[in-house]
Amino acid sequence: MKKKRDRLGVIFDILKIVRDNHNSIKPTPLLRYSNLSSQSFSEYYRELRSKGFVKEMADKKGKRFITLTDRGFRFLEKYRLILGFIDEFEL
Amino acid sequence: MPMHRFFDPMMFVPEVTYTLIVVVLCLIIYLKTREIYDLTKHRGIYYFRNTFLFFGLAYVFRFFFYLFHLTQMALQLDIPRRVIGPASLVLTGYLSTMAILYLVYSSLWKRLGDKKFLILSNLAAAIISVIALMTKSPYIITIAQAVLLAAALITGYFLYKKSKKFYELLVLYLLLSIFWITSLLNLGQRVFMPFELRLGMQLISIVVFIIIYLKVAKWAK
Repeated sequence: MKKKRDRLGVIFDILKIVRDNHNSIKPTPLLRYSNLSSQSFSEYYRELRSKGFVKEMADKKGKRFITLTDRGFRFLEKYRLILGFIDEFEL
Repeated sequence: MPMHRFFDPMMFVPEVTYTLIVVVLCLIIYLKTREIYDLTKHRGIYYFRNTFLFFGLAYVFRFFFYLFHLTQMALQLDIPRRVIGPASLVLTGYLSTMAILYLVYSSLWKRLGDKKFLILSNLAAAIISVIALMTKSPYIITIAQAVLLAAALITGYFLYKKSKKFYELLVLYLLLSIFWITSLLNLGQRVFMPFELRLGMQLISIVVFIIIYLKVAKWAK
């Protein structure tokens, strides 16, 4: 059975989806790929924006898309180390 | 007749060195974990890094208390004793109690929840500090912290019966706390251990801090 993702795992997955889509994805496909309920996704998305991991942009036609900030890239870069640290000290 | 401490100036150098090394290691651990905490806001990381902030500060104030006794008994310097001595004792008691509670709780918070922990830990630390102030002795802090530590160990044992890693950490945390508690014992009027043993314990204590630092440095780059 697949282990349930924890909070950090979900954040990592969402950010990775954005990065893997050339750092530009619309909210609806992001919700679909993230495998979350729309309510959970909204909560995580709000958290990601408030923490400055992602930002919302609009193109010339006014369509919204999501991109990673430097902080979001930094989180992805550090994720393995963060998990290792948490595991090392049973935090 | 009880044997009283003789403040040999030669004891001052190891004490300063020990305090300096421990405080620097605590500060490095605290600063090295800043980015990881900043990115995640993880509660366990919060408790863990604050442990070392509190320990570092506790060692600083412990040193002030040591200086207070030293100047009182050896140098006869005119310093505001009524303020510095008790204030150092209270802060040492408060900060070190918080450090021990945070250290243990950094691993237990997921199982126990942390809604009332902040209130209860502050309350316990404040009560211990006030009693230490009233008795004007660091011994009450050592006894109270030993009791808290025993309670934490028993709780940890029942919560993490199957985790080998937790036991390894527990040994490390236990050593850290025991060395802290014995370092407090050495602050009192009575001599509890010979100079050589005290020096040996300080060296092992530094080794424990270095082991923790190396574990942190492996991940928090």
